[in-house]
Amino acid sequence: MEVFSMVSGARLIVDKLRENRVKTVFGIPGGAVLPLFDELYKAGDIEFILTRHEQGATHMADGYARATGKAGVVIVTSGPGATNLATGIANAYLDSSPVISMAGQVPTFLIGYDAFQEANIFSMMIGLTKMNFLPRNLEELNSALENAFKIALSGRPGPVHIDIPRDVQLMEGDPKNNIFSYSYNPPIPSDEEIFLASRMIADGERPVILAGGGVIMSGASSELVALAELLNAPVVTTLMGKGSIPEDHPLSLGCVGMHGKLSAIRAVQESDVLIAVGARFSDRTTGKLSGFAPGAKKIHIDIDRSEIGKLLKPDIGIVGDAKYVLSKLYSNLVKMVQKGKAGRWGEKLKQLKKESEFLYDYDAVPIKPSTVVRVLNDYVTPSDFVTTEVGQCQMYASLHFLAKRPRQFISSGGLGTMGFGLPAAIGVKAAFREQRVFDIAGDGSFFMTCNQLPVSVDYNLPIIVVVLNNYFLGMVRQWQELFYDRRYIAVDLKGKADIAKVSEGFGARAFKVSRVGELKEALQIAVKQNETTVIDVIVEREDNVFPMVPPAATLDHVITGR
Amino acid sequence: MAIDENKRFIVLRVLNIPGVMERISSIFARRGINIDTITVGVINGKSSQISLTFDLPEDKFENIVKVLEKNPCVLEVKIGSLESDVVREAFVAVLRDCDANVSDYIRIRYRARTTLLSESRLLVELLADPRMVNEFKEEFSDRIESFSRSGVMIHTLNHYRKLKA
Ligand SMILES: Cc1cc2nc3c(=O)[nH]c(=O)nc-3n(C[C@H](O)[C@H](O)[C@H](O)COP(=O)(O)OP(=O)(O)OC[C@H]3O[C@@H](n4cnc5c(N)ncnc54)[C@H](O)[C@@H]3O)c2cc1C
Ligand SMILES: Cc1ncc(C[n+]2csc(CCOP(=O)(O)OP(=O)(O)O)c2C)c(N)n1
Ligand SMILES: [Mg+2]
Repeated sequence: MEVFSMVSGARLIVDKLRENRVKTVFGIPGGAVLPLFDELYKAGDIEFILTRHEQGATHMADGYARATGKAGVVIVTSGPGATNLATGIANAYLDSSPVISMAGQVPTFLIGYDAFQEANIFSMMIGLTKMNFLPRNLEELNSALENAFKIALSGRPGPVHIDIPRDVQLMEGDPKNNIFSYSYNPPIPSDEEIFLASRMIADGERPVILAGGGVIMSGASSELVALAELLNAPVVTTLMGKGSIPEDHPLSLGCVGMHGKLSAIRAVQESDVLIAVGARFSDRTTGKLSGFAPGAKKIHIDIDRSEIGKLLKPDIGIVGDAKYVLSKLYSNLVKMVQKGKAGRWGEKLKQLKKESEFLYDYDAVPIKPSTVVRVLNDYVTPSDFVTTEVGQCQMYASLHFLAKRPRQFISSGGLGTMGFGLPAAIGVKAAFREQRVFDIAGDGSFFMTCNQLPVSVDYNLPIIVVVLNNYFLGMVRQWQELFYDRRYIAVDLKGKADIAKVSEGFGARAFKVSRVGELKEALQIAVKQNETTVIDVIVEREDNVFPMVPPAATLDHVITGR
Repeated sequence: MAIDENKRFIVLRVLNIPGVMERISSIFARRGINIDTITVGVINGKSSQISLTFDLPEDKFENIVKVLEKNPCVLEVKIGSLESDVVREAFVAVLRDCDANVSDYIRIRYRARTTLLSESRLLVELLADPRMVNEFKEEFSDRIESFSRSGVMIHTLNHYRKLKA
């Protein structure tokens, strides 16, 4: 039955959120979005999580999106509300995360006239999003909403922003038309291409699979593991691909790159066929590109055509979905190779693994940051999540935390945004209320977004923040130590601010520890109680993260630190 | 005048919505690529055509074409060339010290429209291959009082050079 039904712009937005099964939205209201907030109030079935700063809202939506693979949604006001989105949206863009942000805007007739809280958000967002919209009437709003979810989630995911002028929220009508309808046809690679790649792989003796974030986005982990097992090929990951293979799997060698594991670095450098899937050859992964896997034939699989040949010119480039291509490769190769025999790595793998094992010092006081993460492993179950901040803390997490499944490890890779981890953890928790969520933090990063702790407390979204507190911007200090002759400038955080007290002030439970025993006690309590908890771990101040490949050097120049 | 091998000619079919020009130009600006000419025409209510010319080495060109192709506002990217497509630029100039002979010469040599504005001032309207426009500019450099040029429009002759993946 066709019914002519008048809706307001604000109502239309709420309807579209429901249609896309959005249950949780993050943000902060203001004058230019009041009509929309009033509609959210009337709707009642969409939970609104009020954050303390809009940047945090974007990281929450981003964490939500990465943990679920669904869109994370943010709603804020115009002007400062919208400019505060910039960092979080840029962060989502670089890590290909489907965040949908909406900001109020001044009424259409005032746009461009320097109205109160007007900023040129449209132009700002062009460079930070996969797509953005500024609808001027209901039809355009309808179209923007229809397309936003499709664009954010299809192909290579990414953020989409919509500015919604106040008068458009209030307009009434029955919008049916779409100004344009975004259609995405997933690229289907030819059987021939895949056959050629299969032959190249079968001919290799030391194959290595490099798995990136795209494997996780594609949901291709079981295909990845199956192919690795078939070929007896070790799997190394990028930071974003961490967890695409369980890191306790015998063929998992961990992350490769500037702070990669020795085993991963050595295997890549010695490989004769490198199968890169859903990875974009970032400089952090490859080191100096010309010396990356120098003896290997390279196969690059990515859903984004513009990634193939962007930096590395592969011998074979395949544009397609990781899950599809990996399963096709498997069915070809299962006929070409004897299971588990293709890779002739033999004992070499075990040897590589053994050589790069870490030694943990459980007695040092203050405790070493690597030990903190090692200990933490025992408290994280496979269904739990771990987010990270940025810096040494993040690299200790990457090296010493073993991810057991895709989407378990959530980190700001591309933009490297300090302050991401804590709000992201809250966003993850909003999606998975039964699971525990840990944030492995640095003190510098902690202070960037700790103002979001009350959100965790207020909405009963408890998270466990473990701060590796070195009273330093440690990663920068490390560079100044190694490459600037210890000329430390602007890295000392002094340590007068008491993280435990600050956290208690925000309503969290807090611990301050410096020994393994104390850390374990605190963790024991934290995982038992369902409360927002901050564990301020005073760690060795000038510990350095190793291995490390110096900037612009090839992976062969890795400093082991031993 | 020789046009070097790094000169690029592309035609985009894009959505006819506000902000598309900024979206496209920011792809170039971000990479520090100077757009030499840009012309736009509406094709129908829903789409427009943008012709762009710029300098870029081959290895970088391939990536930018793919980046343009994946932009949600871009419906199609065609790569044009001076040799096999119709590449035209409009050029309007006012020349001094001209008489009817010069006017005739310009009409015939350049297939231009000419109008004597006064005894010796000549209005020239030319639609030509940009190389021809440059030639005209050089030949009459000492007589050109003022001029405007439109930027290049490209009409591809149904060929579509697909880039390899
Ligand atoms: C302090 C610091 C240190 C770092 N050190 C390292 C390091 O040592 N090693 C390292 O690797 N990184 C490191 N990083 C992270 C680095 O900056 C990049 O973010 C990361 O390497 C990118 O990972 P990726 O290549 O997997 O690509 P992502 O950014 O995860 O992109 C995913 C890729 O997969 C593609 N894709 C998406 N969906 C699909 C699909 N369905 N099928 C196929 N393909 C798909 C996308 O098109 C894209 O190319 C560090 C970051 C920081 C902040
Ligand atoms: C928002 C932001 N500002 C600056 C930087 C540059 N930076 C990278 S790591 C780092 C230090 C991080 O300090 P902390 O959170 O204490 O972690 P640590 O390295 O000490 O473990 C800085 C300043 C950044 N990545 N993000
Ligand atoms: Mg620190």
